[in-house]
Amino acid sequence: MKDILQDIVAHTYNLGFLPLVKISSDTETTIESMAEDRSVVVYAKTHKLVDEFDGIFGMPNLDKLALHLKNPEYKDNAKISVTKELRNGTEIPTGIHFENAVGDFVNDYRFMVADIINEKLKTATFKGATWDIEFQPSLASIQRLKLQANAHTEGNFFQVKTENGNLLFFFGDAGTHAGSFVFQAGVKAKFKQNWAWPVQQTMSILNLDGDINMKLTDAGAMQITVDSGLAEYNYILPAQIK
Amino acid sequence: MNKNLTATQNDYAYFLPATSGFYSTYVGKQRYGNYVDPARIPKSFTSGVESLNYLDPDKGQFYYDHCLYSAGHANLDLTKQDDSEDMFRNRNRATSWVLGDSGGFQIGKGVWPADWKDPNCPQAMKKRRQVLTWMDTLMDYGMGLDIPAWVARSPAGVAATKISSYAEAVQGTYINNDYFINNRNGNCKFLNVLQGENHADAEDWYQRMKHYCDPKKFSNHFNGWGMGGQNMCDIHLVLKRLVALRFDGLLEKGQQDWMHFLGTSKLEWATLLTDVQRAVRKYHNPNFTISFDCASPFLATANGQIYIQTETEDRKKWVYRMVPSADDKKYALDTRLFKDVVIQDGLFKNFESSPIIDAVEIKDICIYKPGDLNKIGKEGRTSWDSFSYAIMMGHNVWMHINAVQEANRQYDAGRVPAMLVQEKFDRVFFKDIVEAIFATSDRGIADAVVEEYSRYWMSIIGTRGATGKKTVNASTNFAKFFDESNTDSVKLDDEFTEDKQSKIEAMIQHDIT
Repeated sequence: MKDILQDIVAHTYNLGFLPLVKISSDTETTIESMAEDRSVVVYAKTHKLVDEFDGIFGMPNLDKLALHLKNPEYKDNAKISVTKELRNGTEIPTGIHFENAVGDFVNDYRFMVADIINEKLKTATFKGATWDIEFQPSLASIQRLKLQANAHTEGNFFQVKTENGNLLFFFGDAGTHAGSFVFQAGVKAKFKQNWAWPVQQTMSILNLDGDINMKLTDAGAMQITVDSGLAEYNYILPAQIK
Repeated sequence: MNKNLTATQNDYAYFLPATSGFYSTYVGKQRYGNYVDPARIPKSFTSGVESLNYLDPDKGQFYYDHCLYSAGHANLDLTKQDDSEDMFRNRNRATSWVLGDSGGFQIGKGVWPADWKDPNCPQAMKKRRQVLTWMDTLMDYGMGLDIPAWVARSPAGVAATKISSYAEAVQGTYINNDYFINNRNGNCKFLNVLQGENHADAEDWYQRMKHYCDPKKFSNHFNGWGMGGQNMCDIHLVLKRLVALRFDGLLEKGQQDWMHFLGTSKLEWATLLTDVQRAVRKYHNPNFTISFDCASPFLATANGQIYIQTETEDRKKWVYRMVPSADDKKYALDTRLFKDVVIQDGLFKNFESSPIIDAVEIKDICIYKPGDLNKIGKEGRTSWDSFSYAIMMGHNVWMHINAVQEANRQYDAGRVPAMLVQEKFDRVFFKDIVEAIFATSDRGIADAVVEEYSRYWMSIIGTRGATGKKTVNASTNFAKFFDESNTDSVKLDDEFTEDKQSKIEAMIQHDIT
């Protein structure tokens, strides 16, 4: 239980722009979230069904959950369990009970009921895309992205272009300080559009632990897939434009 | 102190105070009786309550001949006498000019319920007919009756209008525009409202609606452009549109001479729009005139705020400074002038007076003393009565208009607001870029200049919508790649200021008095 909770927090709240999560669990366990500015939508599925997550509920105040999960009182032999209640004849998950080994340090983290999470978190259904470019980014490329992002902090986004079989990321333009670098070589597709994506969100996702795969379409979307070992998270970033 | 703001308008873009119905009611009703007790009217108001009527060059405490009034707030039934509407129903058309807002906002908010996508819906047809008649009868210019693109995201709007998508908003606007085109009598000139919440939608809307301004398509075409949605707050989009209009032949002298920006209150925009107006006049259409409106002077008062000064420091943000106004029952018998008390008693650090409030005593604002009961028989916390609000609204209107003109004067004298000059690498002035855009007769060059400064435009902050760095956002492609359910809320920053205005005015009239 603690592992999957830590995994969810790490791949949503810790990114800094996904404060609220919706869990749906029946024959499979899925996780959804969306940034308030719609810059990122994430769909995830755990590799194994999480039995304790039975039903639909929301996880608000993930900062609080993150603190409980890091609390040294719950480091060893803690009891961490999903609490449930019978409502309208159905047993629904209502929260997580944290109790240390000796039982004298407890916390209860409350879930958001299905009605409320469905209201608070819009359900964004991905229509699908034809991905023009797909690759596994190298650690070196991600490091180079960090270097450029640090050098160009005045901009919120970078632009993506293809040139001579390379996928290039551009920061700034002719009217500002500017820079570019090859993020991925050997791409076959040729982009006609110069789409922009948010630096901070892209960097945060690429910094996550796990196997990372990237897909881009010239129609204006990027998908970064991160397999943490416990779940596969698909982050979809609509390209940004005026 | 300038009592004739009409005379000092110069060639600046016109600011139009979006006149509050609460305010104009005083002017109108007092013509037919003592809506305000004559003893309550400040001695300095030489024409009584009519002194508040800035459209009247003789009786107003000051004269400014241009304003906006909304059909959404007006009584549209012209078959019946309505004293409260008299400021606009019985105005001198030779000495005043009024732009009628259409009530598209009311449609969007669901205040005018009907099936607006059905050309035969009787409720919609009645309102359509009323608005057109009202415009043709009373207004010099009028906004087309658009269905705002955001209506589909407003739950109240969807329920009341049956408009649930952008496509239906377009369809509803077609119906309204067709009706206006086919039935207008020519007395009122109409503006073709451009909507759209991002560049893609704005372009789509323009392409779908532009023919209503085209003399080749309609002999009684609309006569200019109304800038709504993202068009009114994103200078990049404004300049792109102006270039398109020019080269599409839809910004021609005597044909499409007017462009109005809805709900624009940033002081810098007063000067920016003057730059645009001058450039278009110089290179393309000498009649071209820009106007912009906002309700800030009225809303500020309703929120208890009073304008105290205008700040136009070079290379800084330019603002109208407002503070909470004097409101204390201890002043109810104090015959000192308002402008003196607020300084002497340390209420304000400074105060720029106006022709409205200059000779008003503090007791004319703070009318209730301890123990006094208001009109509903209760002792309220405030010392103000309704007419106190009206007086301060008049002051705020003068201050706002004067601020707009003063900003333009300072701009012409060489002072520049920070957002209209870029000095990071080269020194680039907004006015020089605008000059370059319109100086060329080559559309490709004009478009290229606009795009060259794409990032700079983001530093020119608009009043609402997506402004600044937020103009680059995911909304266009989100809509392309996702279907969204639970669209039960709409967040539009200050889009609902008209709504706020109505609520606040109702509060003033019914609770405080």
